[in-house]
Amino acid sequence: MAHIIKTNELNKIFTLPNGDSLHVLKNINMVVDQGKLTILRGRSGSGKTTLMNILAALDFASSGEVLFDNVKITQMSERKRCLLRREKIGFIFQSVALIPTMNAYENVEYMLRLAGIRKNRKGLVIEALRMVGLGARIYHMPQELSGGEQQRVAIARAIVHKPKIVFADEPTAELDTNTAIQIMKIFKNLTDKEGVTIVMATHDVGIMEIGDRVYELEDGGFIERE
Amino acid sequence: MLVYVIRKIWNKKWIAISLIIGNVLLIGMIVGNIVYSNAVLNRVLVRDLNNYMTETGIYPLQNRIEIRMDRIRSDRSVARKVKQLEQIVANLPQSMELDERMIISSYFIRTNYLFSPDDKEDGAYVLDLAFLSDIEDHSTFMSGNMYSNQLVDGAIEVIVSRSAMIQHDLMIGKELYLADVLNEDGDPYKIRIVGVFQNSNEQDLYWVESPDSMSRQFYMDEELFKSLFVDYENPQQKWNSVWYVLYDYSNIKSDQVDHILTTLEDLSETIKKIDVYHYVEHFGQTLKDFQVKQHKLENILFLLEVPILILLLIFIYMVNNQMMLLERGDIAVLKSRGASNGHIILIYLIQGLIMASIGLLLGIPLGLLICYALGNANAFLEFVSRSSLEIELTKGALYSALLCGLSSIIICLGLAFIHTRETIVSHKRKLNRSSRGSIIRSFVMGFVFLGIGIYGLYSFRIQANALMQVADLDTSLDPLLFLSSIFFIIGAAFIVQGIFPILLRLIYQLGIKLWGPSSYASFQQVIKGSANQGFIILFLILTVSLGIYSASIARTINENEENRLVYSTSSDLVLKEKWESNEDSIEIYITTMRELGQNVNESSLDVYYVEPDFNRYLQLEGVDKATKVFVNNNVQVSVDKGRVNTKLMGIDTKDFGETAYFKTNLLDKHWYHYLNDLAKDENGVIVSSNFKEKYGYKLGDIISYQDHNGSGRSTITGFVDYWPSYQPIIKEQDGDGVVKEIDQFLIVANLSKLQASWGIMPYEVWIKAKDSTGFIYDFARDNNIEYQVFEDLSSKIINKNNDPFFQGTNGVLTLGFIVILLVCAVGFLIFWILSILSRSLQIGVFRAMGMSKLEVFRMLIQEQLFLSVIPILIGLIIGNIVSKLYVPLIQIAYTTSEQIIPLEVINLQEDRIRILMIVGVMIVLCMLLIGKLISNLKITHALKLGED
Repeated sequence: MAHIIKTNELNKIFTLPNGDSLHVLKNINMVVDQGKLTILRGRSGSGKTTLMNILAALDFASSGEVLFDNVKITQMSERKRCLLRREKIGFIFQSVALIPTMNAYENVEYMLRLAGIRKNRKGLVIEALRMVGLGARIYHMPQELSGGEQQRVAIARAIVHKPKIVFADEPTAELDTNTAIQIMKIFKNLTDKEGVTIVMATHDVGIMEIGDRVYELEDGGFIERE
Repeated sequence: MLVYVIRKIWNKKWIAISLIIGNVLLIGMIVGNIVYSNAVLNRVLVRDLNNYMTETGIYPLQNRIEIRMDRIRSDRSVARKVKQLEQIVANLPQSMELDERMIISSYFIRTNYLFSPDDKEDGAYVLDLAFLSDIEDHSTFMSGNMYSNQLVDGAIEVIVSRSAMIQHDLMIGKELYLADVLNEDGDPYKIRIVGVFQNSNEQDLYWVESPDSMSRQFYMDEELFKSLFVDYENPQQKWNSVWYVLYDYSNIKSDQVDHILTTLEDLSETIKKIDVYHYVEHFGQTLKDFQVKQHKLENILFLLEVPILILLLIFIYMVNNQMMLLERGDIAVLKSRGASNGHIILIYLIQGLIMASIGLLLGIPLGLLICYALGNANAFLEFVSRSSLEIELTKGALYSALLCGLSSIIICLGLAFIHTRETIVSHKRKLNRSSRGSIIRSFVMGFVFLGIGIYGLYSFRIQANALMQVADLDTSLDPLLFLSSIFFIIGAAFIVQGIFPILLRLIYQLGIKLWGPSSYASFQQVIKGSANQGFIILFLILTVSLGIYSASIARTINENEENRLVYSTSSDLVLKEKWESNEDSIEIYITTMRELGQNVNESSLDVYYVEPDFNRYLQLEGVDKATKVFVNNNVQVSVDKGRVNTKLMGIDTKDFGETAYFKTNLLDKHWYHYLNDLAKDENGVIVSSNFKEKYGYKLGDIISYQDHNGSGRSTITGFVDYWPSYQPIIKEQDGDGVVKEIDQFLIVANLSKLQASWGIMPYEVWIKAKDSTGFIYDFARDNNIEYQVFEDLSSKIINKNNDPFFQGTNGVLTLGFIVILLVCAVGFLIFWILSILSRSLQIGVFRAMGMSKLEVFRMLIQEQLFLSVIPILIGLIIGNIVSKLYVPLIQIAYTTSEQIIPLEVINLQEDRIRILMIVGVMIVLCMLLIGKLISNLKITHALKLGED
C-alpha cells in the first residue's frame, strides 16, 4: 500500500510568551495510506491539530521529517508549500469557513481558480457537489444554508481539485449527531468509492469505528490502534 | 462598571483615540467659530464707532436732550419734566448698561442785557446766562479767573469765551444788567465778567461744542444758578436745559448691541411722551448697520461650518458603530451572564459621557486655539501673524459646546440601543437582506437630494441676475443656496454609491474569464460586501468633494476680489502730484476783473503747468518700472445722437505695457498686440467696444474727441472690452430703486500725440514696485509732496484680507479643509484596519487553501482601489462640478461692489494635489500595515480564531 505521508521523528516545540517551551509533539512516527481514512484522535490539547497542520504544510516542525509523496516538505520554501496546498491538498476546517460573499457553487469553484484549473470547471464543481450529496441549493449563499449543508460545501471545496489528500480538522464538532453521521458517511463514501485519501482529527470516540487507521494522541505521543 | 468601561476603552485604544479626536474636533470647531465671530465683531464694532467719529467729528456714542421753557406750555409742567429728565439722564448709562464717559449738563436763561440799569431794552443785545457742568475741570484761563459760587458785591460772576469777548466787546471787570432776569426786588440781576476761558485740551471730548461757538454764553457757578433760578414747583424764571450723555465704548461688546438698541427705542418713546424740544442720538444708525454686518458674518461663518460639523457627527457615528460591531461578542457574553439591555445601554452611556467629557476638556481649549488661528488667516491655507484678537469664551460658545457633547452622547446611545436590540437572528437576517434593496435606496436618496440641489441651483440662478444688480451690505449668503450645493453633493454621492456595485459587477462580468484568484476574490468582496462598505464609499466621496468645494469657494472669493482690486488699480502705485500752475493767479485775475465790472474771456486764458521731474521716480530704489499715464475723465465724443462722455487715457505704449497689470485672458488676443498697433500709428487710438456696439464705429474709422482744453481726431486701431483701470459699466440706482446700467466709454491714445494737442497737463504716474511700496511714503514725506491721487494696491489688498468677512471665511474654510483631511485619513485607516482584522479568519482560510502572501496582498490592495481610491477620485470630480455650478452664485455674497471683470471659478491644482498626497500617504500607510499584518499572520492562529 502506498504511503501518501510518512513522518520521521517529528517534533514540535512552542515557545510561550513568558519564555517557557511547550513540547507538543514528541518524536511522532506515522504513515498515511492512500485511499484510506486515517483518524487522529485525542483530547483537546493533545496536539492533534498541531500535527495535522504540519502534515498539511500549514506549519513548520521543530525537528524531524515529513515526506509527502516521497518529497520532504519540512524544509520547503513558503512558495512551494503554497503550491503544494493549492494543488495537492484539500482542507476542511472545524468552523466551516466558507467565504461569505460567494455562494456555494462559487465557493467550491474558487478552489479550482486557486489551483489554476481552467478546464471544465463547471463539470468538476457539479460533480464534487454531487459527491457530497448537494444537488439543490447550490447557488445559495452560505448564510442561507444549514450547518450540515455548509459542511458539505466545505468538503466539496476540499475535493473538487482532486487533491492527493484531504485534511479534516474536527469536521463534525459543530454538528448535531444525525448530521455528523451523514458527514461521516460522505467521508467513508469518498475513500471507499472515490479513492480519496482523508486524514481526520477528532475527539469523538464514536467515529473511530469508521477509520481504517486510528492514531491516538496523548501528551504529544502516539498510542496506535488498528 | 466604570472600571469595566475604562478597561474596554483602553483595549481598543486606537478606536477610542479616533473617537476622542472626533469629539474634540467637533467641539473645537464650534467653540472656535463662535468665539472668533464674537471677537471679530467686537473689534469691528469699535472700529465702526471710531470711523463715525473720524468721518463726522462727532463722538459716536452720545445722546443729546434739550428741553425749553420758552415754548407755549405751562412752565410748571416743563419744570417738572426737567426734574424727570434729570433723573432719566442720570440713569441712562446704567439703563444702557454702558459705562459713563461723561455727562454734561447745561441750563441757560436767554435774556436781553443792558449796560446800565436804567437803559432801555432794545432787543439788540442778547445773552445766555448759563452754567456748564464741570467746566472748571476742562478749561484754562486766557485772562482773569474762575467765578465765585456766591454773589460778589451783589453781582453774579461769569466767565466767557474769547469769541464772546469779541462779540459783545467785553473786558474783564465789565458789568452787565440782565433785563429779563429780575431779583426779589424786581431789579435786573447784575453780572460781572471775571475770566476768559479756553479749552485746556483740544482733544477733550467735553467740548462737544467748541468755545469758539460759545459767543452767546456767559457761564456762572452751577450751584448758584440752581439756587437762584431753578424751582421745579413754581419756576420764576424761564430756563432751558441741555444734557449730553457720552458713553464709554472702549470695551463695548457686540452682544450689548441688542440691548442698547432696545433701550434707545424705549428712551425715544419716553422722550416723545415728555415732548422735549430737541433729542438726538448719534449711534442708532451705526449700531443698526453694525447689526446687519453682525448677522451677515455670524450667518456666513456658521453656514460654512455646518457641513463640516455634520461630517464630524457622521464620523463619530461611524467610529461608534465600528466599535460596537467589534464588541458584539462581548455584549452577547454579558447578556448571557444576565446583563439586561438596560445594563448594556448604561455601559455605553458611561462611555459616551467619558468621550464627551474628554471632548469638552480638550475641545474648548482647542477652540480657543482655533480662534487664534482664524484671526491670523490671511487667505486660504495661509496664515500671517496679526495683532491678537481679544478672545473671550462666551456663554454662547459654552452652550454650543455642551450641545455638541450631548449630540455625541445621543449618537452613542442611539447606536447602543440599536445594537443591543439585535439578536443573532436579526443580525443574520440583515446580512441576507438583498443588496438590490440597498441599491434602490441609494438611487432614491440620490435623486431626491440631487433634485433638490439642482432645483435650488436654477432658482438661484434666476435670482442671481437680480442680485448682481445691487451689491450692497444686505446681500448675505442665502442659506438655501448653500444648502442646495450640499444637497447636490450628497445626492451625487448617493448615486455613485448606488451605481458602484452595478458598475463593478459589469466590469467583473466582462472579464469573468480573465480574473485571477486575487482579483476574483476582491471583486466578490466589494460587490457583495457589507453595508459598512457602502458607507465608507459615501463617506469618502462626501469628505473629498466637500474639501474641494470649500477650497474652491475660498480661493474664488479671494482671487476674485484681489483680481478686481488689481484690475481697477492696475498698478502697484498710482500717483498724481499737485502740479504747480498759474491756476490761482488766473482765479484772482478773473475775480478781480469781475469786481471791476470787466468782461473776461475765460477760454482765452491758458493755464500753464510746471511738470515735476518724472525721473525722480525712475531713480527711486524700490521702483521696477514707472510710466506716465494721462487721464481725462470728461472728454466728449460727438456721435450722431449728440455727445458722449468719455475717459481719455494717454500712454507710452512700451512703458505702459511693462508697468500695468492686466490679465491676458480678458481680451481675445494678448493686449500687447493692441499696444503694438497703437504704437505703429502715432495718431491711432484704442477705443472701448461699446463704441462699436452702440455707435457703429469700425476699425480704421476716424473718431473725434475734445474738451475745452484740446481736441483730437484719430484712427481707431483696436476695440477692447477691458483695459487697465477701465470700468465698462457702472450701475446706478435711481430714486425709485431701479438699477440702471450705464456704459462707460474709453479712448486710449499715444501720450505724445495728446500732449501735442492738450499741452503738458498733469498726468498720473503708475509704478510697478520691485517689492514693497513702503519707499513711496518716505519719498513723499521727505520731499513734501502733496498727492491728489494716491493709490497703493498692496494696502488695498491688505485691507481686503483684514476684512472680517474675508478673514472669517478664509479661516473657517481653511480649518474645515484641514479637519476634513484629518477625518478622512483617520476614518479611512480605521475602516481598513478593522476590516482586515475582522477578516483574519477568512485570510487564514485563503492562505490555508494555498493563496500566497503576495496574492492576499494583491487582493486587499485591489479592494482598496475599489473602495477607497476610486471614491476619492470621484469625490474630486464631484467637488469640481459643484464648484463650477455653485461658487459663482455664492460669490455674490462677497462682492463688495460691482463685478467689473468676469468671474473665474478657481480650482487650484495645488489643493487637489494636497488631497491626493494625503490620500496617497494614507494608502501607503495602509499598505504597509496590511503587509505587516499578512506577514505576521500565522495561519494556524487565524484558523484557531474561528474555532472558538
